Amino acid sequence: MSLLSNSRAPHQHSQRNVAQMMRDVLLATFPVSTILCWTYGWGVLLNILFAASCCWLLEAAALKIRGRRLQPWLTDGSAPLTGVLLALALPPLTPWWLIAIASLFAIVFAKHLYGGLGYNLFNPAMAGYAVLLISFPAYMAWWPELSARSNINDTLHYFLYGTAAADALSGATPLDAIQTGLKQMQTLPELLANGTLETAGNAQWVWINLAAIAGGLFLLMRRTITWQIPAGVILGLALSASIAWIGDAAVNPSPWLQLVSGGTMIGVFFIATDPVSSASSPQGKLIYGAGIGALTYVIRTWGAYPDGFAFAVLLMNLAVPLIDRYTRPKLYGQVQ
Amino acid sequence: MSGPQLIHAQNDWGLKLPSGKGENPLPAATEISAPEELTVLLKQSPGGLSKPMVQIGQKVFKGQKIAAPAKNTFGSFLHAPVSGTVTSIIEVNDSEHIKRAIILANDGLDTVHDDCTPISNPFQRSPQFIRQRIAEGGIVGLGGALFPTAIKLNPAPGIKTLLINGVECEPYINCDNQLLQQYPERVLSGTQLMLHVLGAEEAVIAIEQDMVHALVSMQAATDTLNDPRIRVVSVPDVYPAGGERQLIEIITGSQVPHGGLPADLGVICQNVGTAAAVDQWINAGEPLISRMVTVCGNATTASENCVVRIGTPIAAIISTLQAKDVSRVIIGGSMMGVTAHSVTEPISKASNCIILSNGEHFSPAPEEMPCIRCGDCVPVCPAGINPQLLLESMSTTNTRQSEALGALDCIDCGCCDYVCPSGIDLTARFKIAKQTIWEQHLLAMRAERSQQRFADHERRSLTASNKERATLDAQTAAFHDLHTNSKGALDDMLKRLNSSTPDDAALKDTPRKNDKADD
Repeated sequence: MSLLSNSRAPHQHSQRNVAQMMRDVLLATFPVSTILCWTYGWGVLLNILFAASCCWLLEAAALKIRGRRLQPWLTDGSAPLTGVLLALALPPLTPWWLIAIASLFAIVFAKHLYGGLGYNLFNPAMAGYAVLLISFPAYMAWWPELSARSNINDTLHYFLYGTAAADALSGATPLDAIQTGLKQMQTLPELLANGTLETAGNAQWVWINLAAIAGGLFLLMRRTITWQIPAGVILGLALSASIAWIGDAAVNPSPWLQLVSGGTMIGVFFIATDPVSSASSPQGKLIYGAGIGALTYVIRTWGAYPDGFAFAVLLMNLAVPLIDRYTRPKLYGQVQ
Repeated sequence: MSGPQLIHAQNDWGLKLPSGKGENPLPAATEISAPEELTVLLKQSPGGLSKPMVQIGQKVFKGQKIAAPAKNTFGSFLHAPVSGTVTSIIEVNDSEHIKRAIILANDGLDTVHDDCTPISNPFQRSPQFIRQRIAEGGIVGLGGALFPTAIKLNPAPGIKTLLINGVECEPYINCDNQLLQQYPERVLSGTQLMLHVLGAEEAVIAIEQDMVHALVSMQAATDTLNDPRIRVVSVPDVYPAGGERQLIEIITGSQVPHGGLPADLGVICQNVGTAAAVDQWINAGEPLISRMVTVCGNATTASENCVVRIGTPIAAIISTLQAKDVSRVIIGGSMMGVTAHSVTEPISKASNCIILSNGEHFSPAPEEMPCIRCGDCVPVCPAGINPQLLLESMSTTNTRQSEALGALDCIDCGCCDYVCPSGIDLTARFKIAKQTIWEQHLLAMRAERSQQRFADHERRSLTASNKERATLDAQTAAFHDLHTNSKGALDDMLKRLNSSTPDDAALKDTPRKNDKADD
């Protein structure tokens, strides 16, 4: 009787796998994508589909050029996920070539030049988005008027040619509105009273963030992400915001406003929790998250960009090796 | 009297693995009749080696010593599991190494050897006598480590607690559960004997929370015995709560110091199977020639516990239980068991479980992908390792980093492998890392010794007087002898280096010249 002897302990496995984790995250973005589409129109869906396909094709090309097998990498879902996360960060109307450039930077530069899945130092989606923020700030700042949504023809036209009737793109996100308003020496109560924030979609953004939280809770339930990073970011941002807000509520947005304006919760649950570019130990994850929260606040308050989440993530990516080093668990017997 | 106290763990390592142990009381264990030919391995554990005491062709009785512990190893006495004839002493290929074994032809009579007599009134005897007797019974730690029980029962003074480990946390293994349910009085009596040997104040019998029936029977037996020194506690059903150091952490709330021993906390840990074996030898006169083995897996109809003679080939168990289409055999549980190469492999003192599968029993880990640094392996590790960082450190040849990250602290429990979504065989890799580190340590020690020898030689030829030279030459010769003899035997080497022989001491005290300190 001959035996199979090619199996090593442990013989049991939890059956979790990378592709399943990526699918979970893709699935979890569904509520927030839907609400974004509902709020800003077809452009969001177009961005998502185009960015996901772009990233997937670039992944295939990069694997081919690097002489790697296409499988299992093309079906692990990580490349389309990068695309989706990138698209969620973009303005609802973005010309296709910008998305292509961002995808190129995300997949080829941030991911494959570092060795592909598992080896990238930076969050690929945020690296791609940062390139657009720095290189094409005007495009990144143009958000459609909330009232101008859902015309498929106009959306497609803008997507293909990057031009539109000027007034269609005079909109702003709440974070833009706050930054511009404060620069013009208006106070927050004034901005609230005169309807600036309302026009910028303050109420809609609360719903967008709530949808993101719903997706995040799903991921927590599935144990695809752990609570430490989201908790860290929320604490870091809320704490920094609270200190300033208690100091002077007129010019400092409340912690609540900070947490529900812009895509904060998308960042909290989908971006900051990227396993590859974040810290690994539970304590490390808390510190990493708190760092992102605090830096987001700093950039939003004093930086040139209305939202600093992408830069905060990239900066904390840099700190990960250090965090990992100093949050190593104590070996058994070394604690007394 | 109230039920066993539940001790809550203060840690969060480990895995909740489905065990299915608590559902029904277990039926009585099946006796597997001794086969016609038995293979008694001379090396049954990594640290233990025994030397044959019998000749080929010699007639032996059941329970007769056939091998003695080899020098400088943690081997044990081996006894003939049956009466019969020694047919050969050969090399057999078991799952890990090629090992020597004594082959016995069973005469079917089970004629018992004269040595196998119970000790009357053991508590009137001196602890030393009982300890010596335990060594002669070939009793070793049956939890898997096979460390000689007599050595473990002879620690430095100050032992307060004897911890009896009945926390059978690994899936599939069910033999301790059987002992606790069927023979709780054996476990208790063995515990009392060990308390007597150690002079310890108390014994704590720890049983996993979900081993409900074992808890009930053990508590009932303890209540009946009414020995105030002995109590039963239950611990959470977390894998690997039954690891010696992990259990000590749960019970005492503190960890065994790094590089130290449980005795440093005043604790000695023994497995319930060991306790029962001590009882069987001292009170019934049967040395360790059989053990409880769980036989399960999808190639056999019922999962059951069997009493099997040491040396019985797995094939004999398969045919007795009429298992069909066995294509894979795992010796041990699903987390740490080793895959058998052949059904001719025999049961050893360590074989607590045999999983007979038709190949599709376990769903394999997913195809290996790169580590995605998710960190799921970090909180589950009971040894406090960050497995992901350790894996990363192994990409270079510098083992110092791996050692600092705890490569030598890995207990091979497999928790990190189990949760890894990338399907990386971390445990297997860490085993290799351990091996590499030990080899490098050995090389470094050899290099240091060579350097020292060279320095001494230089000094002799330059300055030493004739008389001094003669002494030094003798010392060096002894030293050299020591070195060459220990080639290949790592444990041996390390032990010699650590213990200061007179020769060593003399050399160390000799002032040295040209003694270059590296780094």
